[in-house]
Amino acid sequence: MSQRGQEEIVGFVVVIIVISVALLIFLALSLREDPATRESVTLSQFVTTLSMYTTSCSLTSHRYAPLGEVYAACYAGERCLDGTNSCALVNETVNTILSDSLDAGVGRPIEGYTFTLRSFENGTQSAASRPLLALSKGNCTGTKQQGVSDFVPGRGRVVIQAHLLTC
Amino acid sequence: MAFVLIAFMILFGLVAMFYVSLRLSSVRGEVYDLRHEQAEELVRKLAGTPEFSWTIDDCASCVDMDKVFVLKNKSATYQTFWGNSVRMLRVQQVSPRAERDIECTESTYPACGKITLISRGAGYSTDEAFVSLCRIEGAERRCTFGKLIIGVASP
Repeated sequence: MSQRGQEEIVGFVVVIIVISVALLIFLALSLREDPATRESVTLSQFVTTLSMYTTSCSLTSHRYAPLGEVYAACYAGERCLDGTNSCALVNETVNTILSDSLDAGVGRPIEGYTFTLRSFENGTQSAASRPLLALSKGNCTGTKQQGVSDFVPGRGRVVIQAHLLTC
Repeated sequence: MAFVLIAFMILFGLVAMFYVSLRLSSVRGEVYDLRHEQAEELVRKLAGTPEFSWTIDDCASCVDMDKVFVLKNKSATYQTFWGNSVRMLRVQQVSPRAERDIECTESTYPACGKITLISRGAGYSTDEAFVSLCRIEGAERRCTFGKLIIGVASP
């Protein structure tokens, strides 16, 4: 009788261990979260398209420069031919396009966004970068998506990276 | 002991069912995201076709508004060019906001922001891709920020 009792206890312990392991696996799988930030082709295309936008700034001739060239002027500290501050123009233009196109806000498909423009002296892998512009709207709490586009002015080693994060 | 085992098995079964239902709902969401991405890819490809693309200089994301406007005038020929399932095809200016809701016609072009190439009734879902809307003004390229919208018949 005593031996049978011991077998029952061993069996019970084995069942408990098996179920505990199964529950642990289940918990590990269900608690595994999606990556916090997903790459988005649409947003990458958004920032690429943004750099083609024709601004009201002339830099070298009587040709209006696309926004990508005004990024470079902002980096180099140049002004438009009419004296307008290129960085101020980038700020105003990007802000207007983001407001017109993303329509971010509480209860909307896009609750908020952050747009940053940075320059890298020796390619985007280098740690040394200089912020040129940072714009944001709303609060980002949920799943985030991001798009990146690099703009290389001239033949130098400088890379200007536009980064858009939405949530 | 047998009853305890049965109770554990039932409990384990319930937990497994709960987990499977959770996973299935997330798989449905992933399927939706994947279809949406595929549709957006289709729109991007469409923007790169000769009927839309800017070919005067190098610009992968640019749509030639002059070409599209000419295409609008031939829209009777192009109604089923992209397939019978395409119910709506539109190029829409997003920024600047001014003029963006004015449909381009012979009398409004280029002071307009919307060219509808195909509009064949309702019952479709739309997908869009951001593009630069460019045209020659004077002797130079002028690009605004816009999107290409396609409406495909719902299955």
